Amino acid sequence: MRIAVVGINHRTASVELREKLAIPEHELPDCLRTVCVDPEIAESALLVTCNRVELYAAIREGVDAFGKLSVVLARIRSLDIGSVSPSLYLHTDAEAVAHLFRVASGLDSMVLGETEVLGQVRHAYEMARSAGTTGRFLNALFQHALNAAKRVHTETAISRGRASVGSVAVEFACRVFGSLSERTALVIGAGEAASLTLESALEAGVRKVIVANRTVARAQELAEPHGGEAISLSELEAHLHRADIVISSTSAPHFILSPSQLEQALRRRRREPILVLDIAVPRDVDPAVAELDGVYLYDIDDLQAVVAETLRRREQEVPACEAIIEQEVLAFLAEVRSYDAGELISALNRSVEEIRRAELEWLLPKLTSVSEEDRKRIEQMAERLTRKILHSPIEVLRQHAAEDSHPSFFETVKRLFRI
Amino acid sequence: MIRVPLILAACSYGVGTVSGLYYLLGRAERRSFAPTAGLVGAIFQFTFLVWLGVALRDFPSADRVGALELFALSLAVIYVALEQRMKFKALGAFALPVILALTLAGLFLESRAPVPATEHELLVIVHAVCALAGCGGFAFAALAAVAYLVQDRQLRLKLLTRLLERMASLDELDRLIRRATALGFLAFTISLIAGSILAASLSRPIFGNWVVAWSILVWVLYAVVLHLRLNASLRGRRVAYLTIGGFTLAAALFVCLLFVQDNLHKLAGG
Repeated sequence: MRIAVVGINHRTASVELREKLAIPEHELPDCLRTVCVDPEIAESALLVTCNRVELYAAIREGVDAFGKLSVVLARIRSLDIGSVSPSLYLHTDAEAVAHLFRVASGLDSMVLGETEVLGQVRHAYEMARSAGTTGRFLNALFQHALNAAKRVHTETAISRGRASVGSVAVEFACRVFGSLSERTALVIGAGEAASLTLESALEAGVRKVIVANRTVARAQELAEPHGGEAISLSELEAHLHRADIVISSTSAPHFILSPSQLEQALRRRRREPILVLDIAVPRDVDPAVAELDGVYLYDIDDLQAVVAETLRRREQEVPACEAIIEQEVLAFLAEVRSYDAGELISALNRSVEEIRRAELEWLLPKLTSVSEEDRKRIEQMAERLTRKILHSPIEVLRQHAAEDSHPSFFETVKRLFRI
Repeated sequence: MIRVPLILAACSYGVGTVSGLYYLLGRAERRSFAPTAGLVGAIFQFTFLVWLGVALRDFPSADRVGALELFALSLAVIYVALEQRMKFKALGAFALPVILALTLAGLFLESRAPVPATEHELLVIVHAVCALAGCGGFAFAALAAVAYLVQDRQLRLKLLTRLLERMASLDELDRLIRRATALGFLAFTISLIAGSILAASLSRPIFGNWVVAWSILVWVLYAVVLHLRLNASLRGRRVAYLTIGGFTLAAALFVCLLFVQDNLHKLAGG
């Protein structure tokens, strides 16, 4: 049995192709069962995320893995294999194992070291298991992958730090205010960048939202889903003192917020600190604002510099992660070899047992003058003989399973004993 | 022999200081042993003070070493309690070095012969304990103020450093400064009132005494700080600087009382 993976990800395929190949979650169990209808595919699991679609399978020896799996994958979504094939990649055996371990650890992700994919791998495994399409090989593969990812995240700093502008902004907010649950966020401008940063703030616990925009209707669109309040830009100064966190992202060519406005807001809020996130280009907030005691100003460059630093540190952790993955791949392969050896040993035992039984059936009817006690002794002797003959080959097989021996060794043993 | 528990307390605080600083500044993700070391140190220090009290047959603050160690113990107890309540796990890096320094100072300071007990002994104890508790509150407010300034600086550097992550938020530190100052002020006020009643009952003049003048100066400074905080919205770095300044004055008064005996404090053995 061989393990193989075929798939596409954000590096090999455009978002359009990824969208075409993405399988809705409710269709996954049926898709998995369809894959396993093929007699050459014993086990299968599908990993579908926004950045990748991968089919993991345990296939019979000698099968053309790429040919078989790529066709199966394209057929699931009724796509022409010719349009998918150039973007597909294939990994088999140890490479396939290492690939899944890297994916689960976030080493193959768009944001290096992200942990979300670990949950997605766990979910893919649970889906396949509940669909009944995993067996001994894929069960072991996914369990080892989850274990490897856990080790990578705990033993290295690959997932440490904040790797998105929104999460960095939230971290700074938490360092100023502690809990954000009682805090108010004022969003100036209703663009996508402001909306994304607001989402991060809401996830971190911000409950009250005010959106200020040139057109109040657009502000309402952003504010309403969060139970927020919409105001026009002309009302900004009157509401500024209510905001603990100001997220500014307008396309205005001049500064929207000046030091005097913020000084006035600080006075009105009894000098409670204000965190100002200026993610607009050109900037919305006069940099002189940062000189005020109680105002913490971060522009897009500041936030991106933190993200870049985090990613640089994570890059430095990659060799340590790869070393862990290598250890885990070896451990997994040893386990798989022990399955092969176990199967071979059972087959060998069965084969010799059949010979023993056949020989006893030939001999015993001929021994008419032999007592019942002697018959038993003959049977015992035959059993001891076969056990002693097999003892040494079985020991050697177990030893080879534990070591990283050449796979052809097991084939030679099979041929030798005609198994 | 009596100082053995004090040596053990100093060792515990030393271990706590190293662990706390390593937790705050070290690269590795390690658990801080500072709270445990602080608790163990406090137990040894308490043992020493009980021992000293038995030896003196008086409240330990009657002796200047006792007063110093009582002050260190009050800081250690506040630290352990705060560490349990707050998310500020790096507090040990700020508090334990100060507690260690006070404990070590007590080890090297000579004891003075205690003054015989007066008929107003309870008032003396209230005066001494409240003065020490007041200084403890001011000390913690000052430690939080130092942490506030460090955190403020980190935030202005605009880097998500390990130091920034391990410190409490500015809001939590600000609350700690406010509460510690308020509690310290309350205790210090009670101490001043108790001291004045004591002086009056012993017919000692309090006007013109430098310790009294200094104490009133400290009290007025903290009264102004609290008033500004409550009514004039004084916050942030300015409060931090004022708090540190106030504690410097209070600490200088405490140190002077340990070495110089004025007419009033001879009766308290200080």
